[in-house]
Amino acid sequence: MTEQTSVRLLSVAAFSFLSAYLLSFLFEGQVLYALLDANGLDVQSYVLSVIIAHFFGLLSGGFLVTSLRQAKRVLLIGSVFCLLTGIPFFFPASPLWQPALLAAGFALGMAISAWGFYLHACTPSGRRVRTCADVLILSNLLMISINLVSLHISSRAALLFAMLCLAAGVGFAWLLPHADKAEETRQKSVGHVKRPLLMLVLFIVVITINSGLMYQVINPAFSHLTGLISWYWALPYVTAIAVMRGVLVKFQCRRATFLYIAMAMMIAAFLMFMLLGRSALDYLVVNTLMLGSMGIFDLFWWSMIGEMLGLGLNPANVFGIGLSANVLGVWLGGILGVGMTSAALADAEVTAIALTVVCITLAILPPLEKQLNLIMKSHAHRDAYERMDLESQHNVLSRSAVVDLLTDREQDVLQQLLEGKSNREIAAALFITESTVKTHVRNIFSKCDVSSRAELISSFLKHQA
Amino acid sequence: MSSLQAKQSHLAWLTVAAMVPAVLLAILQMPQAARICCALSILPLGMFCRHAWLLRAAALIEDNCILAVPDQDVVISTFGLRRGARVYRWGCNGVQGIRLLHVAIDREHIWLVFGDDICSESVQLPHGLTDEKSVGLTAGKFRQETGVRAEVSGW
Repeated sequence: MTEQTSVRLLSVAAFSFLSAYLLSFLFEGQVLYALLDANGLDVQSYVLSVIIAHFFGLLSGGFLVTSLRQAKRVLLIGSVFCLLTGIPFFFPASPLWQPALLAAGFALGMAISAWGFYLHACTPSGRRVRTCADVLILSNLLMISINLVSLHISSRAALLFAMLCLAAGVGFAWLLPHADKAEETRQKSVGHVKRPLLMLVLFIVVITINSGLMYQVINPAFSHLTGLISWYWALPYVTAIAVMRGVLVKFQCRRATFLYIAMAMMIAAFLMFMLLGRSALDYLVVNTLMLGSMGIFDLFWWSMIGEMLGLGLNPANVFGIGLSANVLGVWLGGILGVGMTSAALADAEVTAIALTVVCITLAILPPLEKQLNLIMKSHAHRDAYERMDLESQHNVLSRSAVVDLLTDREQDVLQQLLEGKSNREIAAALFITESTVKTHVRNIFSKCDVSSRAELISSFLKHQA
Repeated sequence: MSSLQAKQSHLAWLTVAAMVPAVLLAILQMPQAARICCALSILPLGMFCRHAWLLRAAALIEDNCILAVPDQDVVISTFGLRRGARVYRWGCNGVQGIRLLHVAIDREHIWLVFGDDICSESVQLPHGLTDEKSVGLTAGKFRQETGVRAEVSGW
């Protein structure tokens, strides 16, 4: 095993064990639900406060962690702090529970965004989808095991198991390197990649609204199948991720294909939920379709985050913002779901409204994905263009047949466009007005048969990047 | 250009003057009369908008001037031609729109042919250039800015 592979596996293990604690306990975990229920506490307020704390933790970690050394420190301190905040839950319910949960949600949020540095440093850009799939699979398998302990032994035994996972995560994190070539990578300001980051956030929020909604609408209908749910709930999710990982790695097929498959599965799941009954077999069908699609969606946006780490921005920042968008989406979907289920509507009506929301959000996804891909490609190409020497930059332009259609002035503007300059910057560089630049840009788009800067840059530089 | 700007400000005043009675009548609870005044103010508003567009086009032409003939109030540019208050546009909408097709310069006049794939129009203007160097520079500007090689004769 090469050193790079072992470091990658170490980072996967560290994150997965931390994440298992988060999924099984802190973030709407079954262990937390069981403990709160057993003590007669208001589950919704506790869960909501943790979600909000975790959201701000992710964002704070994203903005505060700026180097690999800091990332390791935050990862370790955050996880150890979480271990300490878990102790009060072994005792009868007390006022300490709420602040402990809040602090743990925040600390683990920071630790998780800090891991973005390790995703960036320990995995080459082309293999990040593999690492993302591995952490999702391992953390969910651990979560299933903890849930089974909670169901068949006790919720406190499950909490102990979850804390052991967290301790193991701390151990793996301790072994992670903290000085790497990643330290040397240039980090751009948020403004430089603001647009792709915003698109990514929108994309993740739209995708995860569905999971929050599904959790609230479908889960209560099958709540009588406790045993089956405890182990089967996340199994299709894990399987779908494993299948997608295998196919993407082995066959190099287009990732967007999976997006369409997941959309079809999601709609089929809702239709099945409307048509079928509420037996165990019906649950197997509905849950397989639903969680399978969620697995694909999740790996999809995780891999997008992985790609975006290559744009030169602070990895913790990208990772923190991406995951907080996920938390926001889950929360918004949850609000939608609770709103619908508490409106005293008939089951069919609730499902029909949920299906409408799902269809609307799903209709937004393909154009959003296309745009996001285009922007990310153009960023990658632009970076490649900036790194070229002047002669290579000239070659890029002269090799393209479409350049013959452009006037000398338009070629000057094109050169500036490829460098990623704004209209105002181009106007200043060429001593012309901004409206002149706009007209030239419109003409260039028309002659190159493109409709956006991203498309233009991609079409020119795809062979060079 | 100044005549275009003056016309724009006249139209702006006319639009305001047409709208004020409509607003006053609405305040005075005379909806029927307010509606009529409002309908009547649409015409100056439309003219104002159309002229604002024309002024923008003229400003773009001025900004990208290739050849100016001050005594004729003519400006020829990358994106069109302004003769007094008259504006001809080209080169603003890529391959689909109207483009400058041909330029010819002799000792006194400049001929400009512009149009699209279906029809074209030509304009002949005195250019006011007095030496060969200026003609060469102008032809060079046409080539750089519009991609059209000017046909120079008689120099």
